[in-house]
Amino acid sequence: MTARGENAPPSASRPEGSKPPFGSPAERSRPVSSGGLSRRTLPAALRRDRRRRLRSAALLAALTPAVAPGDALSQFRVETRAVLVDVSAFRGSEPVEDLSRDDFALFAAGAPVEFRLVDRDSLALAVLFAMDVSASTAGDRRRRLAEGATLFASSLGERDSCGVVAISMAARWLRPFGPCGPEVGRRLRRTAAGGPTALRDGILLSLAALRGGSGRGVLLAFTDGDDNLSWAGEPEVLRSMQAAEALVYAVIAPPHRASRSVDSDDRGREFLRRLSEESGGRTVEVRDDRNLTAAFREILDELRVRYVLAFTPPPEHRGFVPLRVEVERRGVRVRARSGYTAR
Amino acid sequence: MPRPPGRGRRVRSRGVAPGEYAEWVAGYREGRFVESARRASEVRPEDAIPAQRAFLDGCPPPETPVGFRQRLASALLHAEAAARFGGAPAPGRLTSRPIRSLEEGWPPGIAPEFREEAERSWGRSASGDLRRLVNRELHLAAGRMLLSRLDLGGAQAVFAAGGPRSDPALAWQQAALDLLGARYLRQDHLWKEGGSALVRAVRRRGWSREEAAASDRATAWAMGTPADLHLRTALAELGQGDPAAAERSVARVAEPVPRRLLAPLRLLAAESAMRRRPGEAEIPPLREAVGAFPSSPAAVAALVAAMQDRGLADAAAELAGDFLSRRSYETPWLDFLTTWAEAEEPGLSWLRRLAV
Repeated sequence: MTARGENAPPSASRPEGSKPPFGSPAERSRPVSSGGLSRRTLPAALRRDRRRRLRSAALLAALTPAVAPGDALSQFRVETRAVLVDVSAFRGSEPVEDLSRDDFALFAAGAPVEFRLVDRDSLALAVLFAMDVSASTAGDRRRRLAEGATLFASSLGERDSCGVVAISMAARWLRPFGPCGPEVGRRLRRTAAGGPTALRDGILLSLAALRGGSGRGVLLAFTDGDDNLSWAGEPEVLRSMQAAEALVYAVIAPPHRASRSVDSDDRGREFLRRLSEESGGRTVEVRDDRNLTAAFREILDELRVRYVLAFTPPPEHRGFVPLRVEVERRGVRVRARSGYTAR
Repeated sequence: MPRPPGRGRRVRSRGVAPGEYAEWVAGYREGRFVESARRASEVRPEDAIPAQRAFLDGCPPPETPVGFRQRLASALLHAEAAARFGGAPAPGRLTSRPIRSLEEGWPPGIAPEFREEAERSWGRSASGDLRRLVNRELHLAAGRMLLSRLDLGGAQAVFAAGGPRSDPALAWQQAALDLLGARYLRQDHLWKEGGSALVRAVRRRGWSREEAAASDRATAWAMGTPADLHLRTALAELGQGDPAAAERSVARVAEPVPRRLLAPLRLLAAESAMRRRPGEAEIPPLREAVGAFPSSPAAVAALVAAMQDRGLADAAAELAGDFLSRRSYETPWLDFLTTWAEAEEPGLSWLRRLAV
């Protein structure tokens, strides 16, 4: 009788044969490879890639019309790296859409900084859908999730790009960056559900990969908040968000009790709330899967009425620099990223 | 990965006739292991206890081969039922009662290769007492099978049923599980307890480093490998908010490092450095880990994080994008945390052959 006897339950969601049994000659003898990254990765990683140039060019094009011809100093400022600050403004729960540049004040490290109000429609979006596809998201929940993602992606413009990452025990592309459209939802719908979720690792990798899109980076995450066995802790993911300068939105659904293997508490969801708020985005929590599509629509509507400020970081800034946005309009509150990382 | 065993199973409340129970054991001894375990899992543990008691009372003496095997099979039946089908908390009495009735010595009539195999797994000293050995193997196998499915509560109950106080391997396994729970279930009170319990268990182990190095039992190997203890100690120190102590523990790991500890070593070193100051994590060791385990989500995430901390955002993006294109993955970090628990533990295989 072999060890894998009759009716043996399926093994963990790793490819069959990927791990020899503990103590077996194959397991013991696999050499430790040293020498770092593959040649394919390291040289490519250090090259200035086309996608990054496109992104820089897009940003430059958005800012250039405001520069007076022949103004060398202004031109210099435009061509150095600009930091974008997405701002959502509300009176009560209603968005405020008629603010002008003069209504805003921007502070970095407590000191006022010069900034421009960018035409948000001139900025293409690079939206990465980071979707929890663990066992807890199966069935009707997945169908509604796909519908919401389809609605969102189909509403974006021709210059925008969309990518989809599935997060379970590992994160993987369901669809690398490409034109936005219903394919986003189709890929999500077709993906099998299963396994636990290494959510923080998946989000960290997604945030880093967001830089590969051409446009203003937006991470749109969906999960029920369970995280099983990520290496990354919350500080690492927060720093990844800051490094990516991404705008993070999260849609959170309640966990299915029956799917729990590792117990979870609310801290996973609390972390997503914090991550999104620190980025200038927010979390939409649904109590019922029937509200998933509405959650995606809510985020889309907010992106469409946001303001985008751009400033050139002072050369003396180093490390994480706190930002603060104020609006000189009575009754209006704003939400923006908490800071940026100066290099 | 499937749902944890037994979740949502409805277990009927009914009496178990002695004859039916005897059929379960007979079926198990005839090699219908999973089928017999499933039948046992379909009744509540408390309903099976009287039938088991009657069965054990009717067995030949435990010092006879048949008496030994019937008692072992009775215990194994319920251990496999818990490991595969879960549901109710591990039926501790159903697994421990038959084993308690065994003798310490090896009955005549048991083929010598069983003892030889046991000594290769646990060393000569820790294999001499058959009752302790069987208890250890049974509860470790069942608990680790649950652990491989991330059913931490089920695993904990099974290890507890085996009596960690009396067996250092069970104590170590329990402590390693506590550290896992502390890190991922935020059971912070377990950090200190788990770390201390690990050290105590290792000191009590009863087999040499040489015997551990040759063992095919992950628990025995880990307990006899100093590097493993240093790394789990570092894990506990990080959990207690002391990255400096964790760095010192990591630094105690001597080279060359066993392959299965390479990724944990590099990841714990990176985490310790990052927690002291972002940007402090050394990139070359993490590149080594990714080079050895290019499809490890944890290793790649750590390298990406370290690169980002150092301002290498483009390189990090490239690496992350490449990783996301992979279609298979390996889990050296998860394997370390779950002490290399497997869906089919080798100890179970040994016990089954012993029981038939």
